[in-house]
Amino acid sequence: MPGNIDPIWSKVGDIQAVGVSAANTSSQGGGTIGSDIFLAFQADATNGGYVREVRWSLGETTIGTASTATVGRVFVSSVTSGTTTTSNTHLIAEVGLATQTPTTTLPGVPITVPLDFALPPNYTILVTNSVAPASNTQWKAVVIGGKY
Amino acid sequence: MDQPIVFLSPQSVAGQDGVQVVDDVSHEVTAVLLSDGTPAPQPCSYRSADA
Repeated sequence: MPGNIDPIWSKVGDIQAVGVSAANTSSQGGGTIGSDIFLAFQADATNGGYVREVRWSLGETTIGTASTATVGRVFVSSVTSGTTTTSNTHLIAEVGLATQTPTTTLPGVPITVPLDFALPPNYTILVTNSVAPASNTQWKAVVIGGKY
Repeated sequence: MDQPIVFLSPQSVAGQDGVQVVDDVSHEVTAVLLSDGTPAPQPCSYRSADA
């Protein structure tokens, strides 16, 4: 008998986010969480979670500042803190985050990365940028999903 | 434009200062250098010095 014959639906929405404040030139998943690889989403500890998308949004403390072009990377990992390695953290998407200069009349443009999969309990979505952000700017990775 | 940075890894350069060189027109990074002007080891990680 199968473990679950019903479709799995999340019981409640779950939105988590992190700002990326450092550069990590590697795309292989190595780093230190909170230092050069950033925890954007952690699945429910008991039942796991569903992740629909990562939305990269540019924030600026001084509007009108040009952001530095970078690559936004998204990893799935079994690690929640400390050091990550290529054996436990896996690249699942890269997207170009081209320079943007939002103004008081010209909005920034979020970049969406579809995910659409279930995460086991406590698994995480980690993110990095390939270069450091310009002063007064920061890319934030907003993960939209749910808790099972 | 040179953006001051501080290296986080690898261990051989962690804590050292450097610069991220950004093209003023394209806003793309053209080089990441140690304070002595030599290219940073790859892979590496770093943050802005003012972060």
